Amino acid sequence: MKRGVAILLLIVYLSLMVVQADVKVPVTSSKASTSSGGGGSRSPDIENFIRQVESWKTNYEDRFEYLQKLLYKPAWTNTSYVPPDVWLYYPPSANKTINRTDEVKIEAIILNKNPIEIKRALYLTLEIMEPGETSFKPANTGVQIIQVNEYDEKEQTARRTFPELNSFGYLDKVGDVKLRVKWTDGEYKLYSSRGKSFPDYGYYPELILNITNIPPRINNSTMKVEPLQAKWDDYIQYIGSFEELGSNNSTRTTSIQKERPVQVTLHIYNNSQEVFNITKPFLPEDAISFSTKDADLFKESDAGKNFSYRYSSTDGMKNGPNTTWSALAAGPHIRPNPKIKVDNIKASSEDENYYWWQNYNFSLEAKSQSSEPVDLRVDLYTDTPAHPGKLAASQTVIVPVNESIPIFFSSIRPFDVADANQNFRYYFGYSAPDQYGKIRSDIMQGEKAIGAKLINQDLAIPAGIASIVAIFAVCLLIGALIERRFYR
Amino acid sequence: MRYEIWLLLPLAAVFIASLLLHMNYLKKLDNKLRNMAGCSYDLDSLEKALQIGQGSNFSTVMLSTWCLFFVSLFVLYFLTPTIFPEFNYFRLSQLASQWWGIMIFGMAISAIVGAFSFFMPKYSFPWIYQYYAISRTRKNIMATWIFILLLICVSLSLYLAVIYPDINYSIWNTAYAALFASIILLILPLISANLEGKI
Repeated sequence: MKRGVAILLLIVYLSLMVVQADVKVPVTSSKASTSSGGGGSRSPDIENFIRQVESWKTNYEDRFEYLQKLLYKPAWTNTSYVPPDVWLYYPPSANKTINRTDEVKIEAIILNKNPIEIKRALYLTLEIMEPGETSFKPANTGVQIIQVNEYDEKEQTARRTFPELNSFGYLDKVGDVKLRVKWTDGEYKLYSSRGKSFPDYGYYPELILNITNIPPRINNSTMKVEPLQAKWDDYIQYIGSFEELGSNNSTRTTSIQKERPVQVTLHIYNNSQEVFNITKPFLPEDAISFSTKDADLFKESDAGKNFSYRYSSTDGMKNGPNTTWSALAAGPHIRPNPKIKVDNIKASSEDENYYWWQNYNFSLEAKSQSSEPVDLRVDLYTDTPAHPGKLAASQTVIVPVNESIPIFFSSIRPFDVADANQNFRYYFGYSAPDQYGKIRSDIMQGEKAIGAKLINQDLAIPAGIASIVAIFAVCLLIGALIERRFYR
Repeated sequence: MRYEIWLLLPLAAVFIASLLLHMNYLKKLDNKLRNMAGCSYDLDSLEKALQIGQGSNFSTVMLSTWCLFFVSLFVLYFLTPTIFPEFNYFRLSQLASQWWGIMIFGMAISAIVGAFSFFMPKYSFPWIYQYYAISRTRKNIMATWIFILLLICVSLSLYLAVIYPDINYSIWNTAYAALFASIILLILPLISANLEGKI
């Protein structure tokens, strides 16, 4: 009796499980009430029964399968039921060669001519064969269900977008991708690829798209190294940024690329030879930044050298272009190691009026910072709006080790009449680097503006008289010449 | 516009007036001679026939004052940046920074005017004087006073350069008056010939 009840329950259970896969059987822990032929009623424990079936499945695999076959009851179908046709839809006007970050819309279109009474719900799964692969696999999209009432009454068609697949930005290689739809209505398990292709209407059993890649590109105009001149152990920072996504084509770009880090490498060159490189990941919307905190970019032996740099950036895509290079940019100049110490820079006019025709005195103090005296050439430059950066004087001195010596530029006349009424600045250039590694002092502001007078007051009277006499004499001479030539 | 620039108009007016006076003088003379002479002649022959030698000294002095007049005019207007800040002698900073710069500046203007008088001698006042009878007294007045007036003009202009950036309008006006008086004296023979009707 007990066995009879178990078989009966098993038949009912398996029938429901196999045939009505989409219908959930309410399983409760309450006792099922069944009647037996004359033996009274018992309430079998369904949990025990499930355990029993599971043990059969494990221990008597062959017999279990046979039992399944024995108990299988085919789903009810109408003889007039025709399996629907399923295609992938891609607009005929749309380009099939697309960048992997371009936004795409993948749709399935179903033609189901069965009357609604016998239509079944369709379960659509998008499958993809990625570049270089030989078989399809489910795309990373959910199952789309087309209910029987979703069809257009006139056309008998229904459309469904696979919303999760809006770009191919997740791919790590480029090339042809094939897409198809696997569908089932409970009775049939078929693929869209069994249908005919209607490319003029955008209906494809298998849709083939050529996926390309536009690698990330660095905006050259944002490249900068700061400071441009620095000591080898100063903090130096390289910065830059990516070109805006999608800026080089008109298509829309999805957010996938924005979330995918780009490997950026900073290449540092000296005399066209790459001397150092360092790679860091950056998100495309982030600023690119490398600095001496990331690595020891320069050594003491680099003092006095000029460097240049550029970036390469890669998104790591296979089978296509994945790396771009920025322009080569100059910088930094690593200042030479100090050899002298300079201070006490001064300038003064011979008198308080600071006229342009007057003599000026300039001075500085210097001493050697190396172990031996330095043969130092010092250039004096004056700087006015009319004469920017004018070399006013030069001299060479031997700078001792332990003692600062004054270096005078006395009675220098660096200005002319165009500098009248202007502010002046001055600085010194050295043949050896100073304590800051620079070969030029800071630009110093003159104490006062140059006087506005145009004529040297001291020479005004004699120069004026001489000028008048000379001009009159020349006029008389000209008069005499012309008179002799034409008036006789 | 600065009033000093407006004051260039009277100087230009004097030049134009002198040209008109001279043309009027020649026309009257031509008419009178045509009535008197019974034969035909061309204007070139008439001009040649009318030329009177004014004496070497006078011609030399007047040619010199002709040059000097333009030197004075340029020095008055273009020596300091007061009137033309963008176009003045001190924009030639290398020249103007030398004590002899003004001398070269003046000589250069003299040379340009002299070259003009040399290559186009008919286009100067001293050439025109040859058509006019000028008394010795008037010659003395012209030769002496034009020089003096132009000397005053140049000297005051130099003074204005020395005191720059200070500006003394009285001095400038005096220099301009001297310059204006000198040009009046320069065209004195033309005025007197037309006013007195001595043809």
